[in-house]
This record gives sequence, C-alpha cells and structure tokens, in this order.
Amino acid sequence: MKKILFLLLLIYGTSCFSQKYFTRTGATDFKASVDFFEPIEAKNKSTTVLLKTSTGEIVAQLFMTAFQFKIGLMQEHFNENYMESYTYPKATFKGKLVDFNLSTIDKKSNYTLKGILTIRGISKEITTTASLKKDKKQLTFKANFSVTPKDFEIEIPAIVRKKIAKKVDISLDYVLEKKV
Amino acid sequence: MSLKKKYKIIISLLLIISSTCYVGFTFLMKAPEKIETKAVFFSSSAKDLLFNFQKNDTVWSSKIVQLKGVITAIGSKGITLENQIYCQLKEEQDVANFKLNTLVSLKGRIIGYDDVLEELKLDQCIKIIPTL
Repeated sequence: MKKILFLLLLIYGTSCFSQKYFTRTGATDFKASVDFFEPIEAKNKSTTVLLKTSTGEIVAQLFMTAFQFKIGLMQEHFNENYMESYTYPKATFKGKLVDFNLSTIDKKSNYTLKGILTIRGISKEITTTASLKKDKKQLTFKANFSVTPKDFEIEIPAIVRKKIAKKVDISLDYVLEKKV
Repeated sequence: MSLKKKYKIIISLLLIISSTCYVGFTFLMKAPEKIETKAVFFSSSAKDLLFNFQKNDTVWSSKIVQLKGVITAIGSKGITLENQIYCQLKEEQDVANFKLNTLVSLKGRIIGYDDVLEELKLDQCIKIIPTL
C-alpha cells in the first residue's frame, strides 16, 4: 500500500513539476510622444515575468516607480499626478500564450497572447501577438500593444493634452531563464 | 549717443532673458537624481530590513537603503541577499565583483515586494566599499 502511495505521489509530483521560465529584469517600455514635442517615454528594466511552459500561462508584474525617465520632473509627474504610484504601486498582467508548445518553438514562433492587464486597480483585456525564440538556455519573449490613458481612468490636464499621445505604445522585451 | 544707450539696454535685456531661459530650461530638463548622491533612509543589515519591512510594509516604496548581508545567489544582472532580497545592480556595476556566500554592503532603492517570486526587490544597487 505504501509503495503504491509512494508511486502515485511520484507520478503526481512529476506531472505537477512543470517547467517554468522567468526573469526579474525584463524590459517594459512605453511611448506616448507626440511629434514636435518633448518625447514622453520611459523604461522599466525590473519587470518580473514567470512563464509556465507546459500551459503557456504567463504572469508579469512591475512597479510603477521603477519606470526611468530621462527627465526627473517628468518622472515625478508620472508617479505623483498620473499613475498615483504610491496608491497603486504595481501593474500586473495575467494571461496565456494560446497553443504554446515549447518543443515546437523552432517551427512556430508567433503566438496569440491573451490576458488581463491591471493598472491603477483597473483591469483591461489585452490581445496581441507575441514572438518567442529559444536560444539554448534562454527564451526571448517580445510583444507590443497599445492602451489609452482613458482605459485606466488617467486624467490628463488640458494644458498638456496636446503633448501626450492619445495612444500609448507599450513594448515588452523579456529574456527568460529556466527556473530551478 | 542716445542710440547707443538704446542698443545697450536692448542687448542687456536680451542677455538677461536668454540666460533666465537657459537656467529655467536646464532646471526643467534635469535628469533624475543619481543614487550615489541620494540620502540614505535606512542603514542596517539585510535581515533587519526584512524584519522591519514585515512589521510595516507601507513606508518603504522608493526609499534609499544601505544594506549589509550575505550573498546567497548571483544572477546576470543582480544578486540576492539572505535568500529574500533581490538587488538589481546599477548598469555600470559588474556581477563579477560579487562572490557567493560573502558579506557585502550595498546602497540601493527599494521598489517593492514582488509577490510573484516572493522577495523584496531593489534596483540601482551599487557596491559600497567600506572606508577604513
């Protein structure tokens, strides 16, 4: 009986032990620039991403205050006036790469990415295409999508409205490593 | 003579306007302050920070800390202190300067508690070389 239990546990354990790929230092960029005005863009190089390769489930999380701007004042306004980073410190994405299969990644590199993006406590469904590439131990994940400030109830004062794009482009570039 | 005086006034006014514009513009366009010159909010051991963070996790966002702790893991862009604090290094810092299982002093900025990987996360970390 004990042996059977042990075997069952072993089988159960191995099936549960699915491979995960992750990073703590993924790059998430956004651009909301308008031509002829000061470029509005920032980089977050501290995005945590976890990808379960057996199911294609993906979780990404970043801290708003880790967005780095070239201009200090812009960074301050971003955190204090627009994102309210001290009230809503995180942005999260929970989703899935549709029909993801790590073993056939060499043949198929583009996958539909579907999921929920949460910023300022407000959730929005995102559907885009992600490209994945396997390179020995690393898995490179790239995707782009756009959102609007309205989606997340971010109010932009009339005085700067012309300088901030209606559509904010977000690009993701994550190099994932196998999680031990 | 009066014409010359007029020119002088105009030139000096232009100079004043352009210099204030320049000063104002450089002030507005200033880069964010560097970690090296920022004042330290909390300086202690890494374990002490974890203890204090668990007691009250609301005050730590964006705070500059100086920590001393044992390196328990080394990654490509950062190191882990005491298994629970991930310190992402500032870009010009090299992970090769850190050795596993040794004591190290770091200055960095807390960005928050990462509940995906269950660790405290710091960025812009720089190695502090103790002055004798």
